Amino acid sequence: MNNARVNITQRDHDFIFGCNGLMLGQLGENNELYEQVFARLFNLVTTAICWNIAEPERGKFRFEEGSEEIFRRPPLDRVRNFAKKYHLKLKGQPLLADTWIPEWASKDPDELKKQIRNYFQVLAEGSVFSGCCE
Amino acid sequence: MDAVNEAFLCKNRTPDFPLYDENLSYVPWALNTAAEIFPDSCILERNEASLINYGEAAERYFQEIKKLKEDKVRIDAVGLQVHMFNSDEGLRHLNGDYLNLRYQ
Repeated sequence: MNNARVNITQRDHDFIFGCNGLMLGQLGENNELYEQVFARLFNLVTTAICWNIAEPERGKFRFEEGSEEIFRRPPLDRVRNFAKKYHLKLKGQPLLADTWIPEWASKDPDELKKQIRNYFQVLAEGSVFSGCCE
Repeated sequence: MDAVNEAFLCKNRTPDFPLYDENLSYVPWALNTAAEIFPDSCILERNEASLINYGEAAERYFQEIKKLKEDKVRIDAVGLQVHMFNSDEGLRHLNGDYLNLRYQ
């Protein structure tokens, strides 16, 4: 069927229905409106936990509000706090992907695994996902 | 939590990724490591992109998930990521040909 026009109306969302929160705090005067519309429509927000964005320098984590602002990569705490404020489920992605490895990471597989394990532990033990981990 | 993402693309996209091998052994390693470290309440997902309409990749994914389950790797969710590409662009994505994608 070519050139068919389809109209879809969402009537309910009694299921997990979400979107990335990558623009949280990055829309200037529309930030509050964005949050309100987001929370009205969705019940899950995803946040980027890409290792290279979260730990751009070894041992220096970019989790807290006030960290360097990166387009479509808000600090993790901002998204977590947004999720808590509006009672949204929080999903982190991706924990490990070949494209999101910091430049400083080891090229040795065994050493790299140790570094990745350390990043997992920081995420698990820190404040980022406490209480709202999905 | 999306624990391991887009591993099928690694071969063409980042063949120098130190953990890459033909069997993608880093997938169960990462899931097992995450299962060890994150609390049980954390849903661990294996996610893959550009599978719909590509039978070979879909079958490979099915077999991988089946193997992970047989090997008792904790996997709580299976992600089927979809990008708004046309079929040609989907193939480019699978092949790691990012420079020629119209939509990034």
